[in-house]
Amino acid sequence: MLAYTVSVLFSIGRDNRYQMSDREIDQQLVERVQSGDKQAFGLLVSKYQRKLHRLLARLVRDPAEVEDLTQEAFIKAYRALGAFRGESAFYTWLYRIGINTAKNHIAAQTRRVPVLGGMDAVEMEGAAHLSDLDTPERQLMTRQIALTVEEAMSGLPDELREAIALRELEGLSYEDIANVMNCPVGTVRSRIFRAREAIAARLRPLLDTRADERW
Amino acid sequence: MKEKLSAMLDGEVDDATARALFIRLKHDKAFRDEWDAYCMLGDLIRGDALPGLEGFSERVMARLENEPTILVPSGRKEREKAVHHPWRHRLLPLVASVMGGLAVWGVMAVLSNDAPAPVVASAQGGKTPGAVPSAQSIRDGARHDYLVAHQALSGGPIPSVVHYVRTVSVPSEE
Repeated sequence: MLAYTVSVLFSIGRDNRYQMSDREIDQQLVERVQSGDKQAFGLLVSKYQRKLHRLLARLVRDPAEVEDLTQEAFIKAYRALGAFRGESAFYTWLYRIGINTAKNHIAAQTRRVPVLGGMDAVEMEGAAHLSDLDTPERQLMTRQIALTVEEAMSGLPDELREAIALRELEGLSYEDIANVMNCPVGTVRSRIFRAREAIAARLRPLLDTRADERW
Repeated sequence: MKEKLSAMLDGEVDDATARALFIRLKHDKAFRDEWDAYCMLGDLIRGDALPGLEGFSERVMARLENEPTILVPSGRKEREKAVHHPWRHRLLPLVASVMGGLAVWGVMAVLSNDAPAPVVASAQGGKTPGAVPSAQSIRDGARHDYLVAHQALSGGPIPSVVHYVRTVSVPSEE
């Protein structure tokens, strides 16, 4: 018992520098919204708009409808946020709202989408690839941006490319990346930041040509 | 500061840093744009971004202008925070293990206590060591009736008369 007590006390002592998880960051943002800070909700929109949009695009074919539904899902989420108590992660809660919004839309149009039956948000996230959402122009733009990102990644120094790939593609924590790369966590943080800055610099001209348009 | 913002997107900052960043994000549009850019980059790298969301967050925020501001009572949030506080989850096993240890120790101490019971009736002259004075001897006394009649009134914890409690505990007569 003594050993356990010591280990618990040690872990509590470490918590003075407790690193917040991604979910806890979201929860902090939610609490700020619940305290009247609408801008905090904008940060959540920025973070999850593309993921939710992509999810709904798998369920609804019309691109215009997909954006409307994505927007509708965020508005519904905002209205319901006062009752959100953090028992589930914000993004699963948001995805559930998005899926229900899409289901209601499909039901209203008296269409049937077999893939919807019985699937939850996580299954949807890993479900089949997007169907025929893209127009030729959109497909071209998508390819262009994907190519630019790929080139930007390839042009990074090895240590930056490895760090950003482990984070964004593999979803590893900074501590895990530090173990993989055999370097301090602070170095990982710096490398990921520099990688993001470098990729953003490559993408900026492409995105700026679209006059304030943001993805 | 931008490096910390990048780390916050990955859930890799402490609570105090996050709060400082939130405050700056609330008031600094350029800083919010950096947040947007980092969010977008991750989605692009993972291939999560589809065309058609240009200016999306601005449109959502414009719609929110017409929505009432959410104000959850702080008391409720504090209660929920207390329930979900990670420190509490960490402390509970510690407290439970300490309480459990103390309970086991207490039980062991009681069970292993083999000291002799106190001798109460030494006035009986060695007839029966440890025996309580017989009820009959008391029953004969004049005060017995008085005490029995007032037994119901003798519930107060008065130290000076505590020994009477035992002497008037008359077994039920069948």
